[in-house]
Amino acid sequence: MSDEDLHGLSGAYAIDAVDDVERARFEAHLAGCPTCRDEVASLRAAATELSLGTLSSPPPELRASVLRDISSVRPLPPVVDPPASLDTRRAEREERVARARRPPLRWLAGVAAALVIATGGVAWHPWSPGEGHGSVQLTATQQVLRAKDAQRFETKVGTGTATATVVRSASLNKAVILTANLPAAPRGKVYELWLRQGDAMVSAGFIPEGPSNTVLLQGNAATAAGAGITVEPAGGSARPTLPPVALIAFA
Amino acid sequence: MVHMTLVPDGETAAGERASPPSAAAELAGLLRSCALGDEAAFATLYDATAARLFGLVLRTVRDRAQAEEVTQDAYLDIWRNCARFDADRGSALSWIMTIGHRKAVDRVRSSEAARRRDTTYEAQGQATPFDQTVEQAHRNLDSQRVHRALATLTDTQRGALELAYFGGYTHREVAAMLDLPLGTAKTRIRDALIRLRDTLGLET
Repeated sequence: MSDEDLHGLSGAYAIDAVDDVERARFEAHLAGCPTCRDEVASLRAAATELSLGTLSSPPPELRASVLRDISSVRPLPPVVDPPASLDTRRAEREERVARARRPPLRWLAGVAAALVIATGGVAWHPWSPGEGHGSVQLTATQQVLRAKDAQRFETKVGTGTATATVVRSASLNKAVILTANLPAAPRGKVYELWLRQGDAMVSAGFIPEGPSNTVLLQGNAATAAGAGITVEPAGGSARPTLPPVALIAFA
Repeated sequence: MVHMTLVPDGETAAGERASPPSAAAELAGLLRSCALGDEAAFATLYDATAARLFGLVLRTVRDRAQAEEVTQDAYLDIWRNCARFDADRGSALSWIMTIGHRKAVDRVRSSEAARRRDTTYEAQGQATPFDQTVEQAHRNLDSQRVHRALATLTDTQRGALELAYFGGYTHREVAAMLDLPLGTAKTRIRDALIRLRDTLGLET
């Protein structure tokens, strides 16, 4: 999606008429576009006026419930700029997020696995002399990508230039997903991968941060009828949140 | 920011309960007090905004019990995040309503709620007539102003805005529902909001 297209999304974004992928993309754009920030604020003010036409008093019990709720919750502190460097703040934030994740072990293992796969593993260097040198050990990902029976399934993700390609090898029972131009997941959210096994969607890991990644899907890809990508809260979900960002049928 | 009455005189219980602040600046002041843990200030803020927020949420989620849940959840969020309100980025009322609207939209898009709502939606027939909004809008001067501004929109602009804002549909869904070419619904929504903003003389 070009910048021009993104500007045009300001109205839909202002009144939440966007999906999660568009929201993430537009918020990334907003960070660097003061014009759009001002426009969104002014359009939200206009939308707020619309609610003058739908006034309705809630039941008195709701007031009591709300006031009871807040008495046990401390307001969050204002956002302050600590003297720490950006990197330190980022590291702290990631540490906080990591602590909040449940279950932490499953998540961390997933991230670690995905990172190893994304970088091709420590034992393999793309600039090494290449195959035929006995010392080169192919990772599972490379085995899938080079398998003789490898099938490729490509799909667009959202409306922009983002694509996801699944390469599946039935003989290896494995599949790899390659993403390109994928927008960042919304804050506090992650992209989760799924394999369709029969009627069920089974979690197959996560896509790490970054527009382009190569990730080995967990689970038996040979028996799967398709794969999917969804946006989930950090830590992932037991069941996919609909609608999916992308669905790929292995057919 | 134009002067406006947060809650119309009479008619609503919220209006009778406390004398509501009549200017946006007072609402911003209440939020600042809330950030210091002032629960009484939050009660005043609730009274000044509850009919607006609950009315909008009810319009979107349609089901009364769900609307109460969503409104309660929204107020908890407003309390929790009150220190994060930034007056440079819009009015306090706009900030509050944005939180409530997002909660309502999230609720109707969750599959379970969507299924329940769809039944109601079909039972009521396509598209809630805008006249219903307009009729309610006649109730006070401020809403007459909004009504006049709405009347300056084209039918397509008004229809797209209505489905997106009150219906909680995405611009793509709106395009499909109104049989608009792909990508035009978001333009209609933006055009409608800009027209509304300019007619109402709103500034950021």
